[in-house]
Amino acid sequence: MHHGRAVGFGLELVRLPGRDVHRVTQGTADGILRRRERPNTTPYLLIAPNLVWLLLFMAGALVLLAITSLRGYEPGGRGILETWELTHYAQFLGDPFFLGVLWRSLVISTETTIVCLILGFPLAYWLSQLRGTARAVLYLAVLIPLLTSAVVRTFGWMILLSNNGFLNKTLINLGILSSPMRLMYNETGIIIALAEVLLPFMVLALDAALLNIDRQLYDAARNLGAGAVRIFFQVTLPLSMPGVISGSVLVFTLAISAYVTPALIGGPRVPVMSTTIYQQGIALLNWPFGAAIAFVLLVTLILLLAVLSYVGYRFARAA
Amino acid sequence: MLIAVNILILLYLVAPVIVVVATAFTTTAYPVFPPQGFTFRWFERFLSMPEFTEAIRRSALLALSSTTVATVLGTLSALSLVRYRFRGREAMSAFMLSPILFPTIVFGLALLVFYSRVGLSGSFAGLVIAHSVLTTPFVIRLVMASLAEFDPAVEEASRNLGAGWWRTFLQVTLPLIRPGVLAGAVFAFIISFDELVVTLFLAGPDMTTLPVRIYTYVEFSSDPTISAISTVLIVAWMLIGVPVYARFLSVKH
Amino acid sequence: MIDLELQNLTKTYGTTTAVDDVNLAVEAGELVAFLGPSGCGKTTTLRMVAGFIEPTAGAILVRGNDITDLKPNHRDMGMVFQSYALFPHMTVERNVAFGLVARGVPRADIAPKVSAALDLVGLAGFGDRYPKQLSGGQQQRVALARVLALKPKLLLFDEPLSNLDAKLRVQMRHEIRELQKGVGITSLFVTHDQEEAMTIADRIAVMNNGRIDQIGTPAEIYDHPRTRFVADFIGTSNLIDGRVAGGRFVSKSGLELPCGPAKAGDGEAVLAVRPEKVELADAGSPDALSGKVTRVTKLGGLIEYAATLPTGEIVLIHQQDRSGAKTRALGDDIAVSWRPEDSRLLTI
Repeated sequence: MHHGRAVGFGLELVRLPGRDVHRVTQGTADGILRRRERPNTTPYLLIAPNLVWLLLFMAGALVLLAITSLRGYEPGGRGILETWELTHYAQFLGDPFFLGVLWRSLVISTETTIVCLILGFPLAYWLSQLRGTARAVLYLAVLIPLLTSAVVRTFGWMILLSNNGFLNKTLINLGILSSPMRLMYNETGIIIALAEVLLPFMVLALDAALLNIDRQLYDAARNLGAGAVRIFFQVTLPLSMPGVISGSVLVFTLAISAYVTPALIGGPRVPVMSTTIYQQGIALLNWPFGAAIAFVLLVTLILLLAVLSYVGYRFARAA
Repeated sequence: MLIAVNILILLYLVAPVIVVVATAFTTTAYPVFPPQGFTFRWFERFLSMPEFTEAIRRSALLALSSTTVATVLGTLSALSLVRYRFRGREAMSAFMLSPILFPTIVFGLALLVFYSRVGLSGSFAGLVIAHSVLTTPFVIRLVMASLAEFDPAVEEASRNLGAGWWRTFLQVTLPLIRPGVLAGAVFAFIISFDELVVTLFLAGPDMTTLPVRIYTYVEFSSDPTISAISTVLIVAWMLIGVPVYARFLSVKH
Repeated sequence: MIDLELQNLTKTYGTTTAVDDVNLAVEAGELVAFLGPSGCGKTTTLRMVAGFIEPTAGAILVRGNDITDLKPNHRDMGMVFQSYALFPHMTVERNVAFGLVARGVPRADIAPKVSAALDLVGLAGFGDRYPKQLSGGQQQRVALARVLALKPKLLLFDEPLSNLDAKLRVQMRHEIRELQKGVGITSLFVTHDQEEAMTIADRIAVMNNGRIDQIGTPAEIYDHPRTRFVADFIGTSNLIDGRVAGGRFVSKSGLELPCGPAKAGDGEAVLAVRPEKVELADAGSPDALSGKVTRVTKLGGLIEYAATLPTGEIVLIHQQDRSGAKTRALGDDIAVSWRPEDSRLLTI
């Protein structure tokens, strides 16, 4: 099962099945044999079903979507035409309304990511410090919302955020507000609910990074005379950067493509990229334009992730 | 101090879940929090609405089918990615896990267009395929974590003792990674059962799943029936999910 | 002058006692090794001194001041960790500077102190490297430089050599010993390796079940073990259970064996004799116990014989493997004896 390994010591040759032909060359002075081998087919066979599945239903569907985004469209009449054109991209990029939608999506996703980072860090830090049963309990507490569907949780937020909902009532009773604050059908409401929906992803990513930090480093820093603040900024934070980056990438991506929360909390008054794609694809049946918006979203996302992973790469190199 | 801040964050995290469960028992006609009175009326109402019970049946069947596909595809892929070093392994791993990060809204539209070409529009099979693509990466991740936990030497020992690849897989590898496979399958089932966006694109009028039902209901009206259905789901997922995860985590640590 | 004093130091977790009433006084400039099997409480003791674990009872005094309640970052003790605990995202220079910056040393003074510390451990010129670019031995030196730069009141070593390979470990022992004597900083050194403790320490505290069984110089510990555990844990010993009555030792099987003066009164006791103190003679020699060779093992420059006495006791004998020395074969009838002053009577 392991004869696919690239490096091996001479002894392994003994156990190899006969059908594998090896050219064995006498190696270096310390007696290590180098061998060349034919690639083993087992890993490819194991991965093939899933690969076919993904190539057909993900990659294939995406290629067709790309083609569709370049087709002409005639509303009402013949629908999708057989022509090649860039009109849909031009329509999107030339219209301040659609550019505004893109901008709003970027702003909401960025703010959601920042909220998740700020709220996720203390929680992840606490989680990473716990051991045994206490850790399992807190881990499950973070995981349970993840096991509850986004529709259900968004429904909960709708109840909380409405003008005469719990949040507004409490704030008025406490004297913080004199009249209800609008939290539904605007960006604030979307961010409050979306950050909650995505917070578990951030916590789990940060927790993984924080767990990777050798605990003796904290002891060493304290032993060398560093206080809590210095330890956080000089040891904890820089060493958890991989988690900060991976968590941010995950939350940002999920936020910008989230549909349920902006659709229910924001409604038609606050259009974002995902609700616009849905509207074009399902309500207006303008698939080519919907496809073009989808690719604008994808390209934006890829560019942003490229920048982020470049920053992450630079950071990893520096560290 | 840290604990006090964290309690507040946890409260924020569980707030909507608490609200939904609480409002399921309110006697008011609208879901208000804190709830008033106590009644099981909304549960009875939900059970008497055939569009919801029918949707539950369909969602369960869909989740079961796609989970089966995802578990087989995912376990085989994870085995390949963890136990072998082959050309293009890194790229393959990234590709196999990419559906987790791929915007579902784009995937939904892409499949809508694609299915209209290949004749899968509005079909149950189309939904099973779409859901299996979405859930396979989660199976892969959890099985990979399980595989990384145990010493590959036990597999080598099995081969050395004369067991073939298949026997080794069935009698050594599979029992050892079972918690991971099970956790992956449960995760896949729950994700599939709860999936909304892609299903919204693909499900025709006679293929409505429970999340789609809930979503369209919430869009136009608001009464505690939805709270009651959601409460049932929350309790069900906790009963199924928590023990499986507790076991998976205890195996991992 | 006493630099460090542990008074009745105790740590309990629930019903288990990790460290049980430890008392110790360490002289200025002295290196004391805590030696014992894993779980004996040596690391817990060290971590209490460093301030990472709060004692359940007892006190820690440094130069007469009670520091038991002081936070670890205010204790001014340099600790060298088993995993080195170097900050992976900082260069060697920044690692060494970390403690100085934390202490608010003026910026201008930091660079010279860092390079002096790196010079001291022979790593001048490595300042720009990152820890993962260094070998294990070099990382260990950085960990040393990092604490030496602070000129702490106390150096604490937590099994610092156990991650190094055997040859390097032996070399680093001597280096640490010389560095420590050079800077003259009082040190505690935790190890489970008796050879390491013997070479590096001025005194060894042998720990067992959370208690210090015996404390003394390496020679005292080896030649005059006070308990059965110490005699057994350090080196090899023949341990024979029996009773002392009227100054004479009789084994459980009823054999009277030569022994030194009993310190305690009559009662159950253990007779301990080092294998190299046992004489091997031909069968029938006067004043010797007859036996039969039942195992022969070559241990480097030594030959170890196991002789079984007719009453069932097994006695190990170590003999130098010199040319011309008479060797014995399996099954040979022989006789064993030892001088009474070479044996110890221990309490159980």
